[in-house]
Amino acid sequence: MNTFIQAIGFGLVTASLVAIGAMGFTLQFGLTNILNLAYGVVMTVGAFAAYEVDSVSGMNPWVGVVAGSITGAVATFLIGKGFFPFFVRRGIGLLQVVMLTLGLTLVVQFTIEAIDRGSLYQFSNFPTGRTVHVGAIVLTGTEIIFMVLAVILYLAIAGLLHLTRLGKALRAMSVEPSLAKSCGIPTSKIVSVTWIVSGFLAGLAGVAYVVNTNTVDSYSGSDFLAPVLAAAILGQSGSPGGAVIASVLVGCATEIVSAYGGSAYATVAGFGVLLVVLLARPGNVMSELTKKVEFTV
Amino acid sequence: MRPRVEPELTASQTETVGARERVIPLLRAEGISSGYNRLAIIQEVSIQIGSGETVLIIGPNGAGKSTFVKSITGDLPVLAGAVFFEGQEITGASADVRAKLGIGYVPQLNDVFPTLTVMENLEMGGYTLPAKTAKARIAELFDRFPQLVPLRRRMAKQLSGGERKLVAITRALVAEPSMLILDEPTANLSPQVARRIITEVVAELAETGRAVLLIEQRVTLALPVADWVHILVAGRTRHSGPASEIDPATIASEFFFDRAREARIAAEEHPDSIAASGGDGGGSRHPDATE
Amino acid sequence: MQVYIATLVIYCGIDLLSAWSVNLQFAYGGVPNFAYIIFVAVGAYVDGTTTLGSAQAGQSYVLGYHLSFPLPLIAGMVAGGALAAVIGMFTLRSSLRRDYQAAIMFIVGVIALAVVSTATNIFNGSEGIAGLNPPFTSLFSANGYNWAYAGWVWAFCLVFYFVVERLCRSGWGRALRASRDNGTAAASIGLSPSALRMQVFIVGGMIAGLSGGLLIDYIGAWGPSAWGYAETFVFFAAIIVGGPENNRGAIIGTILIPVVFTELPTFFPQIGYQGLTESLQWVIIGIIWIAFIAFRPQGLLPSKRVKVARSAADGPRKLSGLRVNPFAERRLYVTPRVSTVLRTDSVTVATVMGEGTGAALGTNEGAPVSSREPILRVENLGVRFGGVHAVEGVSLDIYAGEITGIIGPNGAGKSSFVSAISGQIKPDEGKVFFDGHNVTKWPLHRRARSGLIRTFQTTSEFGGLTVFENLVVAVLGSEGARLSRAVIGGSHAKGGAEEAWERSWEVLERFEMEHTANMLGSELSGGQRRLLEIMRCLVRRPKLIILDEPMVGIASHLVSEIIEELKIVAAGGVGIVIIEHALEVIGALSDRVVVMAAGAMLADGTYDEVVADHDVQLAYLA
Repeated sequence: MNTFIQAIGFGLVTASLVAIGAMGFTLQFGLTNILNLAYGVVMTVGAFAAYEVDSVSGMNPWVGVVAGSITGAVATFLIGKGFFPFFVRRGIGLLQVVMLTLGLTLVVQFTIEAIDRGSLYQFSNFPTGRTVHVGAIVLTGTEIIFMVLAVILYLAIAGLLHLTRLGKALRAMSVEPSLAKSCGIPTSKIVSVTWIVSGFLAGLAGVAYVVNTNTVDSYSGSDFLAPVLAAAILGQSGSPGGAVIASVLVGCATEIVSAYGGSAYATVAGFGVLLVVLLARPGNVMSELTKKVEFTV
Repeated sequence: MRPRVEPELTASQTETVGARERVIPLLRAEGISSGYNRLAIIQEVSIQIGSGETVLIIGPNGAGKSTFVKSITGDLPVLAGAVFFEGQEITGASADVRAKLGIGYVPQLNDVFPTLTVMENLEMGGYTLPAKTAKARIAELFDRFPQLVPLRRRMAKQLSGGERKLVAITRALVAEPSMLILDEPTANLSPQVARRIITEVVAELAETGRAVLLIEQRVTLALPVADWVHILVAGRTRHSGPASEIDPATIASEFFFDRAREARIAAEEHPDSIAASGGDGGGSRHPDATE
Repeated sequence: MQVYIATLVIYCGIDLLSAWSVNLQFAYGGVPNFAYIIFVAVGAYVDGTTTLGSAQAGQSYVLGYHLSFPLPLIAGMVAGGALAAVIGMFTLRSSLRRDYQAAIMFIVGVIALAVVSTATNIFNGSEGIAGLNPPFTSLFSANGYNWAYAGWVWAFCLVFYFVVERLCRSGWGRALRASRDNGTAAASIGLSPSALRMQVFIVGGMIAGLSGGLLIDYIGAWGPSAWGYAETFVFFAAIIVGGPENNRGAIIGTILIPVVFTELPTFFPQIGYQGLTESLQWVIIGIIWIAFIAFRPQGLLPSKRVKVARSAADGPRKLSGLRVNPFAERRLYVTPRVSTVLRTDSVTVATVMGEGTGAALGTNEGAPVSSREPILRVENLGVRFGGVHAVEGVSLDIYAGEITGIIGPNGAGKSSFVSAISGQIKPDEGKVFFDGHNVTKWPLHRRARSGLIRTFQTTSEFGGLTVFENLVVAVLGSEGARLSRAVIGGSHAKGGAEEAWERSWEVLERFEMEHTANMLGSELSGGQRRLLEIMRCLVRRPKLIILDEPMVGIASHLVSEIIEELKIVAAGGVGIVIIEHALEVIGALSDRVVVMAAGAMLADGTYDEVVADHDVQLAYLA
């Protein structure tokens, strides 16, 4: 029983990291309809930015975390406003846009690899903080901080979406873009804000991931993309709350399988949740093919 | 024997008739020909709507009513003709320009934000206003339509058809538009609810000096609230005149059924001037066309 | 140096197999297999673990058999196909959005790599498998061996080139492309898009497994470093550059990208540190990828259309002289307006038309014309959408040889009614009988196969197929889309295909659309698409056609023509049901008119009777 509770504990830690990433992704995807696989590489960029700032400046490592998040925001803004509109304007299909993001992933990831010589870095001077015991669960201070951060971010985003005029307009645009335009909502501005916010979350998620695994390399973001994507898709596009719940499912499934079945199959478990839902409740994840999907950029 | 306006009205005739009886137009559409894929579904349709007037467009399905509305709102580029608002040309203007000018539009479908609450829907309607003004305006509308008050926090997709359409119309009213376009507001509503929407909501819209363009299928219901009627059949104007001069009982036989044959003959005599490559000249139904 | 070139040739051949496989799955089949490399990997691993015998020193893996060459290769191929079957079951759901599908495939690839790398007991984890001895070394000298192996690999390439080309040109390939273009329309002509996609996924998986086996046999080792997700993109890049849907383009693409591009830099002096060039290569592949998608999506060699033309021979119809050879299709060159005799070696592909009579168009041989037994009987049909009755208590008999128009104001339930009859939705109440069978529960494609065909409000042509192919695929239906027939061939050349070609020409000529025969569906104007849709209905000798607003957007002189055609078709014994809003069309065309309003039937009679009906007039106003 202890193992199970401990697994849940670790699962919640993983869940909080995944949730940060998944919330960002679902915000982007819900609004623009672009399934942006380059989100993974943005996470890598954020992680590297944090590492560089940390190892170069020698300041409080949490400054690095902020730096990484801001880098993610800037990178995503550039991609969102500079890269995608060019192709969307020329009339691009669903599949091609995904392929574009994959191409972008290749370019950025291997540029990073070229620069850093494919090395693996250690985030070694990041403080783990004191160990805390919550019942049978053992957590480090840093892990708790990230968990709290995830909760705060969720509340902040939910607040943004439900309490501010801008957030409501974002939700409106996600669901009926042309009606939103009719109301005079400044769609371009809201798209920009979305790219920035979701990019911030991407950068932060990337940093959180490498802090947790203690290693940084050019593959970091792509590795982490799989569970983030699974949680975002599972949680229904555009719904941060759904992303959080899905992240908890994914995270706990991963850790439970890891505890009982060995860490090798842990990643499959997280993804397995998505597959099971895909098979059992198709309506949740699937989109009617007859509805023409348009991109909002 | 009721006086009948000849079919195939030209623009100048309409103006003359209009000058006698009608207010200065707020919106004027002249000689609009429009359609999809270069084939004109509507041809040379002209309309004017003035403040305080309710202009009703009726016609059988496929007549081009929705196509015409989309041409006016700028959602569909015109093949010929122009649209003027307050003297300024607005042909093909985009939705945000339209919103800034004070033209409110309630489309037939996709008329509310389904995952937003009623209150949030209205707030979106008032997005272009300063927050205080929007709030005040929404409060006024709640007074005017008290049936919305208990629904304030309900998500729009959970509403009944009639409630949803009421929210859609109210949403457009928040911004206090000088002109309101309603595209078949009673489509998919039950007859009783349709009656309430028309008689309790649409009837009063023009009272505050607003110009109202109403497209409707339910002729018997809509005719009493209209000042001017425009009958569109097979893409052309069949009739344009005061609502009081129309006898609803004879509309179908006079205009829809028999006139349909005449329209076909007329169309054959005026082959499509905007034809596609030789041999077929066909257009296609655009997936967005709702008729 | 010789060895080096031989190695290049070997890798080129192996990569070519993968390029064709990706081409098949992605370009022809529309399956975005972004996990492609794992199928290569499974083939390599299975080949390896069935060669090595039980666990070698220091390695642990499953399947430790010691099979003699070439059985491991076959095992690898089977493994690739099996993995495809398993993964396809989860990911190839037909209603999944394409971009979701792509993302999920990508995730599968990432996770598979992670699992195999960490689970050391499956395939020895991150170290991989090593220690294979290359096959048949005893037969060759050290130098000659590489060329011999190259020959071995290219023998496969030769075989698979013909196999893949044959598959692509076959009825199955055509059906696959049709399903890719428009799944619903494909189902309405009797195809099963999900089955076709699964088939191409498995075939591609098998080819991938084979290439993996060939790799590990030569290299002697295989591990996770060889199958990162980026490897999949090399093959996609080869396809994108060479030209999707073009197997010869795939050859060019493979030579350019995996071979020239990745090998060339080894000739240059090393820049920067060791390994920098490799990273930069990936960056450039990414840039090439983006550039081609943006500016030249058709690739260097655009897809080759299958073109056809008429024979000049004006003699009587010759059926016996017809030999339809699928290979011959490729070598036809079209000059659309000139009738030329096409000769490819000794094969003449000719479609000699006699004067087409109306009877040839839609005759339902054996069915009595205008018999009084209804071809379609609807009893008390009801359709509900969440509590609202779209259709309620409608009963109707439709007779062959008659044209029945259905009219009514918006929201009358006409479309729901028609969807329930044709099988797109299941009715909530009532029964539908077609040609004596109770078809109430039959799905769309089953009804289509038994002769009930409907068109849709939005045109549903197959954009990537030529007009002629659009018709042929409709004639052949599911019978002509069998994979087995594509592989084995034989009977494909006789009977079915011949007749299909003839019928398609007949219909084209009847509508005077021969000049469009070689245009792609996506190149047609709107009116031409509508005509194509109608032709596609007729080409299947249906018993009953349901036309859903066919005249929208068609110029009036064309409308008159189509009306005449439809009358001839009906005279030939086919039942026609037409929903239209353009009342003049209904008036000119229908023998009988049914009016629907508010989900119920309001009137039934001739056009003039119905139009004079007071209730009907009111319905149009209410």
